[in-house]
Amino acid sequence: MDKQLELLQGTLDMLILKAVSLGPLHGYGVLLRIQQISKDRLEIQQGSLYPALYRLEHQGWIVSEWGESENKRKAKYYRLTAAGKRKLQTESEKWNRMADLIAGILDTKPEEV
Amino acid sequence: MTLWNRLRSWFNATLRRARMETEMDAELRFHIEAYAEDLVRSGVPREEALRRARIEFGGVERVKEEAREARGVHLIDGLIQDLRYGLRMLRKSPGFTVVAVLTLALGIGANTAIFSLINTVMLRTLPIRNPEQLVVIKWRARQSPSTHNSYFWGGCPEQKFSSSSVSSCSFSYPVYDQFHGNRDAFSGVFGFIPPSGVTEITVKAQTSQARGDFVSGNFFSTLGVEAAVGRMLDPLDDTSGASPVVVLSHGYWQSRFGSDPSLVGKTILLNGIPFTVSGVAAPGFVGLETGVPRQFWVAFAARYRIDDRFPKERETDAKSEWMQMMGRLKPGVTVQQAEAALSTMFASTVTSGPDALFKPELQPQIELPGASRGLTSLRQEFSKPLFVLMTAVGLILLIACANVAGLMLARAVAREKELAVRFALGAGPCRIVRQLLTESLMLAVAGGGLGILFAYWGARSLAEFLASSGEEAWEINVNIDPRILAFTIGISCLVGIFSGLAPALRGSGVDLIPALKQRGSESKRSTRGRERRFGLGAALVVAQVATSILVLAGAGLLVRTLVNLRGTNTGFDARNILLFDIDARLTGNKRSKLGNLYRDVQRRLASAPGVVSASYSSTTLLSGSNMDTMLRITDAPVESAVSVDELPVGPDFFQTMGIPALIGRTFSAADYGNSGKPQPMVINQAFARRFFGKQKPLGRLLSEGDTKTLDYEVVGIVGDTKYNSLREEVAPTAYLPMGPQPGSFEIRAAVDPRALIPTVRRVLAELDSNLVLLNAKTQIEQIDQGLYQERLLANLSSLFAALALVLACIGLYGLLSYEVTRRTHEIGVRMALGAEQSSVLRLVVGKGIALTLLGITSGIAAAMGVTRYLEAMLYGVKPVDPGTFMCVATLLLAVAVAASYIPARRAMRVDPMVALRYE
Repeated sequence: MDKQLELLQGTLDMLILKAVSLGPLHGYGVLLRIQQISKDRLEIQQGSLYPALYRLEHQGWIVSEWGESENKRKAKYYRLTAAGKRKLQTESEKWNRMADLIAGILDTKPEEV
Repeated sequence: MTLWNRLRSWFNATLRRARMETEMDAELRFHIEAYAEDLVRSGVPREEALRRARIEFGGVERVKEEAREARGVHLIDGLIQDLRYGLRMLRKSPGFTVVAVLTLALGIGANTAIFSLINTVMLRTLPIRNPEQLVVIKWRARQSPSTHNSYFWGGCPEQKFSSSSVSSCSFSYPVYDQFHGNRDAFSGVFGFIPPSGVTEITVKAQTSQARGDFVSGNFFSTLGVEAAVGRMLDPLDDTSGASPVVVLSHGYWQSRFGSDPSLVGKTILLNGIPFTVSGVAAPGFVGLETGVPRQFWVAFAARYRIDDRFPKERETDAKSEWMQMMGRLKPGVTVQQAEAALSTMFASTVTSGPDALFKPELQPQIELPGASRGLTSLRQEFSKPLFVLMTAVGLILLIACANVAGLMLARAVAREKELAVRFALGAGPCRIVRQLLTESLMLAVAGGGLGILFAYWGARSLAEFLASSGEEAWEINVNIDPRILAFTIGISCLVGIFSGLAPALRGSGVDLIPALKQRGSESKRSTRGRERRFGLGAALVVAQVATSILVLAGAGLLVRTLVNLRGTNTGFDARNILLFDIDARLTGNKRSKLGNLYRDVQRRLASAPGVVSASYSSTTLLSGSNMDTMLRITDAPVESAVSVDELPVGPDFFQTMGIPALIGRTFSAADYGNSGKPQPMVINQAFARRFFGKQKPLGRLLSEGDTKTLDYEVVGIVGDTKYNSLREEVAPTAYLPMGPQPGSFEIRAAVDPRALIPTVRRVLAELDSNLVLLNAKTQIEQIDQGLYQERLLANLSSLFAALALVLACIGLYGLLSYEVTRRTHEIGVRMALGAEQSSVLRLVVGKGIALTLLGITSGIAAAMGVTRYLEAMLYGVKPVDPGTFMCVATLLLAVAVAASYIPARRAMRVDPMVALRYE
């Protein structure tokens, strides 16, 4: 259980930032949106969502405020800050670079060694 | 910006925690309900939807926990949680909590009290400028000088005690003059002497007694004591024509004069003589002697106005030693340098000329012991006992800590199940250790806090005891200063950490499955390592018992010393004797008439009702001081003069004191008022043996030290008596008819000596209405006062021994009690299988006795090595006294059996059916 969380923590943070960058959301909404934009291929464990949200808020990438949900209930909405936007940018670039690098290693043919 | 946000989040989280909690609650609830609604929309019934939503979400508490952790308040939250939980757990086992806290409090309290006392008596420096530069000026030589007279004041520090040399702090006036002007080694030297009697200060017709010193003009400036009001003494006041001024101490100014600022410049009477108050010293300075505060200081040159003991003629007498001196070393001058330079100067002065005090081969030299803590009579008297007490109290603290550690250990093992559950719920070992440590720290802090209270109360009682039951009226202000407080708190925390650490570490290594199983602590342990695991608790008890033996043995020896001293044969009959002094100054009696006055009083008292016999003497017996002189047989060479004790006495002295007259006669009326030589002398048996051996002493002639005249003739021999102290061997003593000098009275009462006080007052009043009765006490009270240190040691060490005994008892009881609880199941099995109740009893008590015996043997072994440090303080009993050790061992064994009894009874009453089901 621990190991999974570690691996996913960095990526989960990125996904949350991306989800929230598309518009302010409450916690459940973030879950739904990630599911939606991954075309239902990615499901986030519900229990790990809120710790991640609080951590991101603590670090200043997102801010929260109370608002009204679709069905007129009070809910806490999160949105991206300017710093968060920059962070998302940096993290995406890093991720892409890493993906390229790993892909390059995995593509190595025997004669290229 | 991130930092700001972080701070803000942390700030919010810490201070608005409650709100954050509700918000988090609401948020999570919203999430679950939103998810449930989605499920409902997809056709799941509401109840089912909610249930599924909750399950899918996972453990809400865990999420909350992680969320809180993400916020970064985990530490404080955790700490508060630990505290609350710890408090609850401690409340659940009140017996354990109370015993542990009390044990710690007693150990810490006793330590802090003694340590504070030691600090006050031994370690505090004088409140003056640069106290480390201050030194006392002493001389040392191979033998005593040949003086006309010498005065020894208390407080002269004796560091290198040596039987082959003599030293003293008293100098002649010419030598003082020489030192006073010395600027090579010192930046200032001052002299000081106390008045010869009590000084009475009268203000607005109200008289009370005060203590002060005559000091040279540069006293305050050399010490660096400033004036709080007015001005201090200066060298101009110390000249023969100066108008008389007095400086008061700050405390005296406050208590007697209500801090009246207009007092400066007013006149007060000292012994009836008007003095002007020139100023008040800075607060905190009460003179040079710890424990004996001074209320006033008068310039040296003005002393003759109120005290005629050292008249002006003494100032030119090089063979009269009476001045005390202290000096402030010049910066950069070391003590060795100063001693060398001054020794040369001193030796050349006192070994040459017609008034030479020493022969050169006696090697007189100067010593400069440090005086940063003032004069030492209090310290010298109490340093050894206080350190003995400190050792005892340190041992008690050890026992207390071992006790608490043992208790906590037992408790931790009993809580294994609880710990296992917490592990299963996901607590990290770090967390568990932290929680257990917090609990033990809480205990330690509570114990420390209570201990401080005990310390305060204990220190004050101790100081009062010290001050009130001694010969002098000492004033010991024991303050618990911040360093000691910090020390105590540090000790508490250390104890907390160490006694909690072992159980905590053990607790975190608990194996889950067996612990959670019904039979808890029993199963795994009984198969292996049971003895090993129990070893720690048992080892602690053995250590406690051994340490208690140490304390008990020491106490036993000290108590026996006191008993022996009290039972010593004094050589005279101390019962029913009343001692008192009279103050004749106000009657205007000159010294020459004193002799007549004393005889008059004695005659009248002898015939008063209720009085069997009356007399007087220069000093009373066993008062802690004595007079001595050098005597030799007249025809023998001068070098054969020997130091003997001397006591001038009035008529009927031997009869009053109950000293048997053996040979010859005692003094009769004709011997008094008669100053012809040779004077009659009565000697004691020790004197006769020392001087005359087997020969007849009657009629023999003796002379003082180095004189050629026939001074004394032996007319009688009386029995040996103790003179200066009970401990000392009886010294050769010479009794003389007392001339006109002040002394004390002794009267033997028919029944109760104290009942005679009104009679005495009446007799005195008949003679002269100005005669004042002072210092009335019985002879037995005086002897007891002299046993002050021994009483202190015996009382306190007994107290500590009792404490140690109680603590060891509790430790043993706790261990055995826990043992029974732990093995209830096993006991049930045994009894179900047919074991007798008595065998169960033997099981428990047997273990208790085994541990105790082990502790006793190791304790006695340790005691044999340690008690020899007490040797100097013992009397009539050897440090390794088998009788005492046996008694102490038996006592501890008896207590151990009693302590084992209750758990044993509990074990016996175990119902096998219940025990077999017991988890």
